[in-house]
Amino acid sequence: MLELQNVVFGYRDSAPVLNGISLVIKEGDFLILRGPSGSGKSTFLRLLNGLLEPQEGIILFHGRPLSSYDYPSLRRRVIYLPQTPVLLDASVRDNLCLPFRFRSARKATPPTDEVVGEYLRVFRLEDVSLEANARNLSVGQKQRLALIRVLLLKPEVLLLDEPTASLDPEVCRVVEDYLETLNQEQGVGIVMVNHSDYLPRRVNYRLFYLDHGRLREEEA
Amino acid sequence: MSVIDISWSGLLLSLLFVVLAGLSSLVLQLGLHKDIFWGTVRTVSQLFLMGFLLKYIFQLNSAGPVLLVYAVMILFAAQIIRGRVKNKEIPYLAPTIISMFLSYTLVAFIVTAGIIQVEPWYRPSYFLPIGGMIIGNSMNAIALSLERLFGDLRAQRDVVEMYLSLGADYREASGDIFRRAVSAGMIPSINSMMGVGLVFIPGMMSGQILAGADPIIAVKYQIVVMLMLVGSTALGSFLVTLLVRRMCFSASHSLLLGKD
Repeated sequence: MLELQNVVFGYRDSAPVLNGISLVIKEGDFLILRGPSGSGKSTFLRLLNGLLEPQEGIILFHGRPLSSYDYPSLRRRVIYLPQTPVLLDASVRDNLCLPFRFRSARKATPPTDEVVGEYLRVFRLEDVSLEANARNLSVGQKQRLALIRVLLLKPEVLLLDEPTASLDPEVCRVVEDYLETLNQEQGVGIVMVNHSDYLPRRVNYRLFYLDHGRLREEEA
Repeated sequence: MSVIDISWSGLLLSLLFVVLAGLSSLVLQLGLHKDIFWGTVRTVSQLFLMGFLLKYIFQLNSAGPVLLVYAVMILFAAQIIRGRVKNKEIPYLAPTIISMFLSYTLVAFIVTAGIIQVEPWYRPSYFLPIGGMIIGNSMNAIALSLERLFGDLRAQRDVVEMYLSLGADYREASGDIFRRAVSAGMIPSINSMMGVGLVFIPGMMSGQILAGADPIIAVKYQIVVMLMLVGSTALGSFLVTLLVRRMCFSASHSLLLGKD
């Protein structure tokens, strides 16, 4: 589904962060990506949906270069969720429905309050009002809200950067279980950067280690 | 009423003011006397140079030299903007010159040809002062818009990328920033409309009255000037922000500006 061929990327005036990465991510793959701080894990995720462009090499999605896609539409299918949730100074409902205002969502129907409410219940946010200002929520609540926002778009691939970093262990487990179910039942591809020792419990996964610009697959 | 020329001895007498300022600097040890000296030399020489050039161009009275001087003024203004707006990542000079040229020429043409109805429209004694006022004032507007655009795109990089990550195109991702940048350029000229005639007599109106014009004619000119400046700052800020914002994003709708 996603394929990287000899991808090289570096920021200005510095050595390449990623140096000749090749990888095939198949439909329904669940990838765990680890590596020391600053090793380029977030950069790797941002390359996969075109927020960054490789200096060398090519990235394919369904066999076609990313550049052949309309990027806004592509980014609704291959969604990147950063570690720090970014929410607008607006209500929870407006934040969750934000992507449905974009031109790339012309044909999509915004979720009803019932659908949104169901997601809030699943992620233990049933006490959060749709009218509440999202900026006033706790970091953990914001992180789950940002996750719900991308799930509402029904992506094909989720690029998740430490999605449970600010959550308590119980809620963390809820999120992990949900992601595993999504992967197992709907075949959503998941690439997750993770510092903790989490490994999927119910689905097959692939474990990668990124260091010094190189990607190494480890025994799962 | 005709203009009273200033005699050469009178002009020399005006140096008394800078001598006073220079003495104050020496007595109070302000360290400004060198700047005062060179400032005076530059004021006198630059203005006389400009005066002789204008006199020559007025005599020629043809479009070519007028537009050439006008173009040079725009290039100098663009250089001043480049000195003020610090940004090495985006080569914004060319779109700035294009925006200035298009918006200012349109406004200056409407004023000389349509409002004052000078014939020909490029008559240097009208077109150059009008163009000069537009360039001088709107230059600040463009610098303010660009500073705001670059500053906000950097400061709100995470918000812009959040929009992009969720399927927004670059226009949607930077819509609020775009509007704030255009407003930043427009606000000073709008504010100056509020105080004009109450807290200051504007330069052009004072000049015309000193030159013997009827105050009501001077007022009419001043009104046109104030309104044209609002128009030229709006148009210039809008165009430059539109063009430069596009350059801040790649073809793949990703933000090219780094963090501060």
